[in-house]
Amino acid sequence: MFLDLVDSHGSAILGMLRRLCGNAHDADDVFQETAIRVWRNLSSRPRLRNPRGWLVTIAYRCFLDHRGRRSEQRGLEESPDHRLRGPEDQAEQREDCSRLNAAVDGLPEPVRQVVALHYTGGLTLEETARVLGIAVGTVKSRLNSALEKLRSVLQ
Amino acid sequence: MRCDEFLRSSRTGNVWRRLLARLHAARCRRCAQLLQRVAAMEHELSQSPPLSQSQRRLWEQAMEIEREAPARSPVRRPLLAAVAATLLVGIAVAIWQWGEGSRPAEGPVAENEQRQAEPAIRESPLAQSRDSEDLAEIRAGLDRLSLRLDHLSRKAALLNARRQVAELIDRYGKL
Repeated sequence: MFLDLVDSHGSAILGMLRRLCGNAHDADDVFQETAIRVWRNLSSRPRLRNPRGWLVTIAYRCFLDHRGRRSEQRGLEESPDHRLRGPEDQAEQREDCSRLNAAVDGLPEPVRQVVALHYTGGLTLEETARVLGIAVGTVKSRLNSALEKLRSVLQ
Repeated sequence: MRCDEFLRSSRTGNVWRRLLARLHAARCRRCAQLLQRVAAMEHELSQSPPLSQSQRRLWEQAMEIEREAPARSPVRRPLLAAVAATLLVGIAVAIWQWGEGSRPAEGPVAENEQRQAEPAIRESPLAQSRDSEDLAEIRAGLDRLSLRLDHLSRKAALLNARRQVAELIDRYGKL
């Protein structure tokens, strides 16, 4: 069951986390944190009506926690991270070259979150609103604003 | 429908607005092209590359991490209970010794001291009764502490038992 979830939805979850985090390294960390929480909670949910929604919600909460920790650490960090870039990071850099991804990265964070949850995460507008804790109307207006901006950038 | 309303209506509008947008796209070539571009963009946004082996391994590792974790936790709880019990016993012993120290000492030297002190004690029978009240209070406190200790140790045992049952249910419930 646990491994079925990653086979069915893992790629979308990781794709969404990459959009949310903005880099592959953080996304992988949050992905593993998501896996740990899923494993802990799976036994209490023998039947999942909407596994994708459940996973995306957990992944988004993990992202929020990770972002909170990162912002705390950032105050303590004095020098940038000079670790060698692995092949995955290089691939990510190539991927980042795609205009659409660059345009999505350039969106304001609340708008980017809606794009990541709705399009990459595959949540409906109502589910997205529930996960973000905002009104459906707000999700719609953010989505419209995202589409307008992406369209103008890509034209 | 106006062209500037088209995108908004076709993507996030209600059923009626979407239908109107579709009809508009059928008449307006520019909006039809826009719709195609946006649909392609949405398709690209919804795509994510398949997981690599290392990424799938992250998920499997999480399972291993969590399987190992319960082996550590049962040690922690009894350890905490033992520390708490030791602390309580320590406090109880300290109170007991303090109570003993405040009692008049026995033996010949003490008897002499007692004789010397006798007039003063005789002068204040109130002080004598206060000492015995203190002693009774300390004993009552000790009794309460020992009851509390019993209660805590029973609670710790119960918590352990519950945890073990939950683990067994987790382990065998999945089979």
